[in-house]
Amino acid sequence: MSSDFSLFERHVDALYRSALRLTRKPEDAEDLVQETYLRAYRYRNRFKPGTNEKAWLFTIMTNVFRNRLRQRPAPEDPIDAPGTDFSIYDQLRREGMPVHLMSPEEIIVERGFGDEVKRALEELPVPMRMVVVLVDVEDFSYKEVASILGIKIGTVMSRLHRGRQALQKKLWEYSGRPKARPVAVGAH
Amino acid sequence: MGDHCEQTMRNLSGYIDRELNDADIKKVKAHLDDCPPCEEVFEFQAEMKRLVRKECCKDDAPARLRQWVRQLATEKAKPAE
Repeated sequence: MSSDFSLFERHVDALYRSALRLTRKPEDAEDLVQETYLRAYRYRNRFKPGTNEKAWLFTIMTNVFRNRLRQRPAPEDPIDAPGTDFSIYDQLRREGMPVHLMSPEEIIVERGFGDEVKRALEELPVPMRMVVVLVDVEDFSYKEVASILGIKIGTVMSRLHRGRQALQKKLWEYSGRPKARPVAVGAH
Repeated sequence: MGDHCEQTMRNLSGYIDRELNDADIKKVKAHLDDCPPCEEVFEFQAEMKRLVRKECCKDDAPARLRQWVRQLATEKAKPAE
């Protein structure tokens, strides 16, 4: 049995980093991953060998997480309503940044978007956050995400679309604020 | 913005996420090769996706948790439910 379970063991980093985005706290993330593995272990005979064990583990984890949320309900945005379109790229063009003369990496580094990605992601409403994490970080297909979360593919796509836009909007807002540690200019 | 641009923008997420069928992939690719403004949007959105993954993948499970999972796999030999 331990050889079967070792299939599950290899996904601990993936489960942990996603748990961290969902719970936002290392100790809660660790706890969530532990409960996920305990359930996976308890119901290991229900796993069909040869199917995607990573998707199976994420199904367990997102269910445990949603059950915990239900016990401590938090106000949520109306998540499936259409939002206004937003993209950093469009904003930069509007600002007159010569985006066609810069690589995306240069733009991202120059504006310091990278440092704020995790924070911005963690501020998204949970349903959008789950879809963005499963697709962008864990590389699941839309179909797999639909199955993991028990939602329609169309809902996966709309939450992904809205989630990515909301993420960019937050990154844009953060980057417009003064940095925590401003660089002193001409102070020497 | 022409029809091809609009169609490409509608399919862009699917293209970046590798969710399109072969025929649609071909169409998007052909248009991006021809249209620098759409190509820039594509490059930027694809980079944003890579950025999210790169930043989130910096968090590995703590050694303690990894050890706990290993023990669960090796120690417990009870029959499953």
